[in-house]
Amino acid sequence: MTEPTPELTAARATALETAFAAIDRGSMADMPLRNDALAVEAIGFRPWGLERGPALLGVLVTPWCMNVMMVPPTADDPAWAGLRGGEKESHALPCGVVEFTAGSVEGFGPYLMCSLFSPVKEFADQPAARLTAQLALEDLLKPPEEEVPPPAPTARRRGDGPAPSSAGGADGLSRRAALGMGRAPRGWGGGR
Amino acid sequence: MSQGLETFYDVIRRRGVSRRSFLKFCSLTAASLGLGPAAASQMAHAMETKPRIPVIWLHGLECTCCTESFIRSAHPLVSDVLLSMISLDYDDTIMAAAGHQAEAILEETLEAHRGNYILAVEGNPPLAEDGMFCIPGGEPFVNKLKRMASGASAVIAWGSCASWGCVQAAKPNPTQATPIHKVVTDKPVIKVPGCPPIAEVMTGVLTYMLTFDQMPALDRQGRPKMFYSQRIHDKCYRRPHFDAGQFVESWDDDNARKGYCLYKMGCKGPTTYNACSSVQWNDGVSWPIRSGHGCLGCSEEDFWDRGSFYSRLEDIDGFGVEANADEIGMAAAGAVGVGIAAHAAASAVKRVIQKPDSHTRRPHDGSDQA
Repeated sequence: MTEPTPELTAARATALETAFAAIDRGSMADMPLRNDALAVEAIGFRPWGLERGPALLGVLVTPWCMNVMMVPPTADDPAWAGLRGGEKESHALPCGVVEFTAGSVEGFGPYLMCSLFSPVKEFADQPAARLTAQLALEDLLKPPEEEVPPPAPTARRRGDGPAPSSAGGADGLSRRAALGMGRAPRGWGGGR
Repeated sequence: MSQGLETFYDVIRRRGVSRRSFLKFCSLTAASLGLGPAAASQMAHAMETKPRIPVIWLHGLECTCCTESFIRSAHPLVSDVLLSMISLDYDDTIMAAAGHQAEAILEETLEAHRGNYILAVEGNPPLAEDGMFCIPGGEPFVNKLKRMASGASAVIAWGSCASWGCVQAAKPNPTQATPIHKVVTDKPVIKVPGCPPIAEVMTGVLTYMLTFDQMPALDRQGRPKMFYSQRIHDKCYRRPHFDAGQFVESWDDDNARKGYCLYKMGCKGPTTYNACSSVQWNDGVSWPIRSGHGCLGCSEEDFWDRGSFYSRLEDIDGFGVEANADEIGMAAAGAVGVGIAAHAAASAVKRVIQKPDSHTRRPHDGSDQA
């Protein structure tokens, strides 16, 4: 078990970049869904404790995907040896529980990934992708904000009907909603 | 009429389902909906106390694969309980009644439960030649559909036929087969696409509506978010092979045996929103990609008209993705603003967080995508 120092963290981020840069030049070079404006970059990697031991957490940007990555501090970390490719693992991050999929890449070793974007055609350039990656990482590492309740429904219920049967009944199967009165959720059949 | 006062629980017990089985059904269903144990007891309570809601199940132009999927819900308990519970007052595939007697049930339900029953529609109406291409019970299906929709509290579009049109609406669509939301325009239509939809998704949506007496949260295309907010490509267990550029190049090559990514074999996972990669099929035994075949994208609009099932996705523009992936369009905005990036980041993070109790704090109108 190796505790990740800043030097080790930087070295592993670089190793990850090197491994995926090779894929970028290799089998992904002519992949139609790639975004040529982007390059391989490991963003914001930092030590992160997992049950199986210390790990590093960050975001990987490539011309074909943007993933949250959890990687072992060393390629041959025995705690990661039993991880099979394609296996799913849920991990609690400050934002909530996130499901990761195990993978492995030549020259780097095993990792856990969670897809944020793929393909990544919506990013105009590397700074745009980098900024989004940094902000996503921030969001992952802070507790979720309390959900702002939807704006008070106006002219929906005036107390003349049966009360909604449970919490959140504003979008319930009320006669008003069924008749298209009030604010019908988008995507319901009306007018589409 | 007297049936209207019965609760789900009464009906279930009368059909010989034990209380133990009933409670197990509640916890199984709560789990399939991604809800916690609290929801299971909430569900049990609702089913014990609330009057049963009749369900009318109509069939238009379709192949009955949705019914096949539904009645073969992998866990026998689910189909037992649900079939007792919803009691399918009318479903011409599995009801005992036939002929005039069967058609009379429709009118009875319309009169006795107006405004209270759920209309589930499998297949769609062909509108060409005044609807003459589909005449169940001696009348054009479109008329029956409109009449029964007029008294329904909500309408469920089962499968890709009812939701999008599916194969009978593929070019050149000679019968003018039309998805039901274009005919039923004064009601919420809940789209449960797929060819067929996964059994657990169908029973989950129906159970949710019957027990919580409310619509599930829908995305902008009218699909329940609890099952259609994840893209196959994002949750695919073969995704690391895509990221690593490891592809099956031809059927049964060495890479296929290694379980590499099927993108080059035409997999439509990158443009398909469905629960296959998490719920899977046949009681979680497998799903298309696990069995070695690419995703056909059967739950996406017009999937028959999007080229061969085996042609490689060259571009995702033009698919149904834009409506879901709210972040698309950043490139069009040119120099990226922090606001746009922050929104894209927040949407992506929100999408990956597992929601244990999504029914209690859900946006109901796609507001997280606004």
